[in-house]
Amino acid sequence: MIAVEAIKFNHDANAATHDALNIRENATRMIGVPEWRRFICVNPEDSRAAYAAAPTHGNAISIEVSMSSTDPGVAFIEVRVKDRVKARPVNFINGQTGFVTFELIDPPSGHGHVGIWDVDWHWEYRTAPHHPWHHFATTRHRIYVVLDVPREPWKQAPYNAGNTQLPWTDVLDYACRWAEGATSTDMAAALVTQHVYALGPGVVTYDCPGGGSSHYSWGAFDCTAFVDRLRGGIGNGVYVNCSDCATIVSTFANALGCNLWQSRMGWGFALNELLAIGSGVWQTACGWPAFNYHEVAWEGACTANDDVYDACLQVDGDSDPTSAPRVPLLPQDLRFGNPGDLLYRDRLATPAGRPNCNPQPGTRQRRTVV
Amino acid sequence: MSVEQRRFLEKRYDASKWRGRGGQGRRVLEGISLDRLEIRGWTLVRSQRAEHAETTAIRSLWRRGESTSELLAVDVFECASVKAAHTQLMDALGNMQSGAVERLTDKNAPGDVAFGLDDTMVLFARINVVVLVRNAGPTVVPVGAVARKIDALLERWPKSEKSR
Repeated sequence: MIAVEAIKFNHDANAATHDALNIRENATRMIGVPEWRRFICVNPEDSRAAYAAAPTHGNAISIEVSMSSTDPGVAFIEVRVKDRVKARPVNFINGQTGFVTFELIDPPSGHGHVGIWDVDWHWEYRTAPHHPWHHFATTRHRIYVVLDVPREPWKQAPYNAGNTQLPWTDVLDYACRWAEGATSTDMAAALVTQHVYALGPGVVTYDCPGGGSSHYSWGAFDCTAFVDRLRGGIGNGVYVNCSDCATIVSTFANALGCNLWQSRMGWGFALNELLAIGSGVWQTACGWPAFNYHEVAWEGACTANDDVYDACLQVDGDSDPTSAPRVPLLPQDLRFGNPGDLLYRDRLATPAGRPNCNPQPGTRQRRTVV
Repeated sequence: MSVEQRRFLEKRYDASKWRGRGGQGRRVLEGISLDRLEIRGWTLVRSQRAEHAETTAIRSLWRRGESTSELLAVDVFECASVKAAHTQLMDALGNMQSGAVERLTDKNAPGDVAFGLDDTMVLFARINVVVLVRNAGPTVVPVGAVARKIDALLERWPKSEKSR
């Protein structure tokens, strides 16, 4: 009997150019290598691997596979997964091959867009060229594809269980679905922004009772609680504010290879009417006259010349954001702008409030995930 | 928090009138826990304690009844001094977007200094301890009575030998 014993997707922890990224499941659980082990892994979610499209582009992607044979007559065979893993000869010594390198055929990362694929690999062998192929094993895997190596707060090193900033599959499970099909970082960030805003009012809603206070991002990003909330748990409750939304968007988008920051604008500015996350009523946030500050996911240096993604609210997108009628516009890849530009700043703040609604690039940060 | 935001908040909340005052000269509270806190009708869902160099933070979530529609988030920060507590208080205000949060000055207000919004969020400092009580569930409940209950617990808390 021939069997697959183990498969390594992330066989080189120091590179993301020809194999999988360094990842973990969440704050407390690591994903070990080999990712697939015989008798342990049954379903696709038991064997997860993530690839970055940009650094692997044009490169051969390889895995390492260990096989066994209980048949003493089998010493030299050819092994493949039709259309998925290139055939190659393997040699059994004392019934074991040790880890041997296989090249993938048309891997998902080669398509250059974000996604999640659950794959069933049907392993086959033949004893000599021109002999028929025989099925001997099926392995199942969950493959994540992101656009580029995840950016901070996510890290690739050090690759050990103590590094809780390795990208979490708990986050990729949502981020890759939200941004499915995205071929650029702007597109991915926009899709993440749309999906976060769409979580209202069922999953999260703007914190009117608490004065717009941070429930998930005061200090570090309580990503564990937020994922719990996404999965239908209590999390830290239903309320979010702008810092929470900015942190969620940038952290989830950066897991896909985007390059966003959490940064504030302020201080103390009057608001145009808007649609806060979870609300269907056009009004200044919760009816308050002003924001002491506001925070968004922001590109580049987080200045007036850089683009913002705001999943916390929709602004009036027509030619006069200070009065009705209202045309809902979710700010995504929208330049912050200067007063009079009719860009993000003008749509958020009243004419009188705009001079106090200034980018505060000194507040630029990427909160650690916990 | 940035220097500019702190400056804005100090002016906005008239910090010169309360910062560093109230608990000065009194013995600090130490070893604060919510184990002794009983809030009629409310059940502790979870409590997490995080020890930092200067502050111990207790983040807790409470539920009324069996459903999760009525939830309270109660955060308690035990700081090293009154001054540090007021800095923590300012940090909490710095994470609230609303321009409608105001200082509570009536005689029923908890703590040495308190801020609130309607009766749905209360933030106060008692000596070296900062408490934030706010709604976390979709059914909004008043929080003032709970804040006063916690303040009463702090008032009864054994004082440390230290005075800061």
